[in-house]
Amino acid sequence: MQAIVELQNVIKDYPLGKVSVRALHGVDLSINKGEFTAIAGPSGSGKTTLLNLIGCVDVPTSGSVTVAGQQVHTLNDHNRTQLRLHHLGFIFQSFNLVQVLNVFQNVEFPLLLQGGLTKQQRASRVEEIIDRVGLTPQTKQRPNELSGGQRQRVAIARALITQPQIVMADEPTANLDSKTGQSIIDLMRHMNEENQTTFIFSTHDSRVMKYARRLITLEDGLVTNQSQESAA
Amino acid sequence: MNRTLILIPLRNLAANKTTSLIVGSIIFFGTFLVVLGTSLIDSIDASMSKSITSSITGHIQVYSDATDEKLTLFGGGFMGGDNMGELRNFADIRTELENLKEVKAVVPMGFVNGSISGGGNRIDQILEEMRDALASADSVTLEGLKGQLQTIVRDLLESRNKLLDIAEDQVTLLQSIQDLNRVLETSFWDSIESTPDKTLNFLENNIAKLGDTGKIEYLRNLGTDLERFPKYFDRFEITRGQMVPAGKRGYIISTQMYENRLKNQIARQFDKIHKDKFDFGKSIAEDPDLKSRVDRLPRQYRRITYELTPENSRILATKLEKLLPEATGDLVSKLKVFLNVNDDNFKSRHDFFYEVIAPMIKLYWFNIGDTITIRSVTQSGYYKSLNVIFYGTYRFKGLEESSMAGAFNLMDMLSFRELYGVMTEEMKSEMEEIRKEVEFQEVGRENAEDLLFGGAESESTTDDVDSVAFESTVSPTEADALIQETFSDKEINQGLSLTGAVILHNQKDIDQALAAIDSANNTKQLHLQTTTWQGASGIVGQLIYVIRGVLYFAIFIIFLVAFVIINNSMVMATTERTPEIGAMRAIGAHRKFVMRIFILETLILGISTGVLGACAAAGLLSYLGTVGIPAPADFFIFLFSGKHLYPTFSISHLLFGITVVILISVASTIYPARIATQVEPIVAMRGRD
Repeated sequence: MQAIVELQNVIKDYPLGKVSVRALHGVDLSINKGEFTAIAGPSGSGKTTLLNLIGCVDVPTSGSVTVAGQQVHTLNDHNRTQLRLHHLGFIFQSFNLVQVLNVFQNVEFPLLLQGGLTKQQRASRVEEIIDRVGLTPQTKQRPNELSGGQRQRVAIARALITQPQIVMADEPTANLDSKTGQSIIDLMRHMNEENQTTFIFSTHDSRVMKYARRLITLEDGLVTNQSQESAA
Repeated sequence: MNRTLILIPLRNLAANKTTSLIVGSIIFFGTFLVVLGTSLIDSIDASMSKSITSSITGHIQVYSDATDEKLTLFGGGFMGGDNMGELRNFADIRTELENLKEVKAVVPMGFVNGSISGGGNRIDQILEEMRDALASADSVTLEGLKGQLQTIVRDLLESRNKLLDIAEDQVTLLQSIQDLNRVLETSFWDSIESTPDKTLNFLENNIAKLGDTGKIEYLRNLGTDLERFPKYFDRFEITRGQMVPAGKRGYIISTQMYENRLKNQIARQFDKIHKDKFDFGKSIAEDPDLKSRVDRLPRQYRRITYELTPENSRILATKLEKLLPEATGDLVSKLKVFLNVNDDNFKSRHDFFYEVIAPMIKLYWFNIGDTITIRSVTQSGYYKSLNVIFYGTYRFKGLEESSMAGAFNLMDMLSFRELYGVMTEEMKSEMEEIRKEVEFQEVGRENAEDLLFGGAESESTTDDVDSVAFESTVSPTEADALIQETFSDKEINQGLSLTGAVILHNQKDIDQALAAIDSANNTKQLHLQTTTWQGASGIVGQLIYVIRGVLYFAIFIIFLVAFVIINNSMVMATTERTPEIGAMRAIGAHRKFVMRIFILETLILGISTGVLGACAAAGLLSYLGTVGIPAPADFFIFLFSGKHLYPTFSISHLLFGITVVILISVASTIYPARIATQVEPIVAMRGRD
């Protein structure tokens, strides 16, 4: 199978005052298209750093990161932004919806950034995806009128609306109760199976890890364990 | 794309109501002030230019290029007699300039300071009138004059008695007391009809010198073509009497001058209090200036008593008794009570003064038709006296209350030329000789006071008459001949003028007209220099720049505050929205997009509140344009070109206001917007809680 994400000997240092702290100590990793992968590990193990590099919002100190066939460290800010816009979707731990836009407008937002679709085309796609995440009755509501689970569903819809190859989710259930978190993971997995979208998410919740087809464990900036499930 | 781009800033504005309200209010107020201020200033500029051009300067003033000094008709040094050069033959200049298509007319102007005497010593006046009465055997008038003289003598006696304790020269003082007492004795007057010279000589030699010295007024006079002046300065109108007949010598006094300087002092005070109270709404109780004016009034009772015949004194005393039953004592004490005015009784006292007292006294120094002697210092340094007939008073319509517009009295060109005293080449060289002989020294204006008077400063319009060393006076018969003399239009034009007031067909053409005059000046060798009305009006014309400067400074401060507040609130908004901005950036929004959102936010707020502010100002201006802004003081009447300013505004004022606001809003958002674009997408990946 073709690798959609490829990391080779990736080192990431963060400056911390006068010294620098190494968050990743040389990671080699390959994720294939359509995988549903969890990155686990204790706090400070480098989960978020790894996710930032794969999500093209950060660049490695050394080594190479290849996402959707493009070498991230060779791209400038503009091209990295284009890469994120057209190939990646994001789900954040604290949702990060645009507070002043309603559900429909939040979901539509990436399509507007991309441009190219007519108003009708956009509307039908947005309505369809809102329906799939089960928020049709809330279409006109603003984020502050929604529950945490509903907000994360909006975020999922927003991440998927551009039909990206990869969806990045940073601790998507951390701010939710276990039942809601469960339903969010179910939804993500459903989307993964239906569209063959690659999902990569970080978590430290063992119940969530169970649902991952592939589990990558990080410890002190190194991949310590990779397990592959046949089915869930 | 467009919709969200607008929607996000719009919703952000709605979400942060307090900030939007504060910033919006500042922008609203700022635009309001810009539109209101610039419109008002332009309106004042226009009305002031109308005041100035229509009263004295015309649109352009031309004067000799032989002087380096700048021509200033209001304020400035010109009226002080600086050398402003001369236009030797005005006719040539008039002909050449009136050939230009922009020019409607050129009116000659000559400025000369002169003094007129208020009839001198009051005792001298009475003695003069006594002689006339004796000559015509008018014993009733004589009796009245005798009474007036005795009133004055009693006053003089009282003040001299008070001096007894402190005066050093007791001998002279006692002698004068003795003389004054003699006048009060009935026997003194016994022989007035039989041997009038003896009595009158005693009064002239011993008593007249004890009285106060006469008053003189210094007047600014404008010699001009009295036929053309009213035609081209169309606000000119005669308020009393008539215009000087064509080809005659004559004098027209400004109503301002006549009312404020040549009127009985008590009447003047009543007028001023009346104006302050009823035109400017001041109250005697509350306004300190008005209060002090009112406080001084009772002490000036002599201005009435000295003018009254014994008969009138009795009548007035009776009438005052009816008006003021509580006032006891003689006429003087009654008058003191009468002149003690307040907010409640002022109106009735004012009316009583004009109905009862005014007809009994000499209300003005001169009456229409009187012959006035004007005295001036000529160019050659000699005093020149000239008799002219006082034909009437004038005003500039709409500017009647402004002392600026009534600064000049008008006289014919020929009288001007005599008072100005044209210097021939011969006289000039003679003067040079004298200068050398007396080691003449040039004294600059800056240090003249110190050098000549040792730094003491006194500015007074009413002075004692001094004796004069050089004086050329025409004899009464000669004067009479001059007054009767007539002259032609040719004589008015072919001769000396100091400046020419150029009246244009259209004020807008002023720049072309200046250029045309310059070119005619060069080709025809007219030896002219030019200045616009604004330059010629000196400090008054420049005033508009000062007002404009103050306004722009105020606007600058308001917008500086607006700039700081908008900048600060947007920086705060950027900090608050960092995770949201990070998320947008992560999802794929470019830096430009973020920049646009922020700029649009202030732009939407700026344009909407700015337009509102401009509309509010336009509304207020339209209202003021109908009801007018009342002038709060004399000077404003000149600025407003009338008692009210009716401001106007144009679309350009509105556009200017809105443009300024837009520039300020955008400029104040650039820094916070730049901070926002620097937010990295990575911040979205960190949890907010």
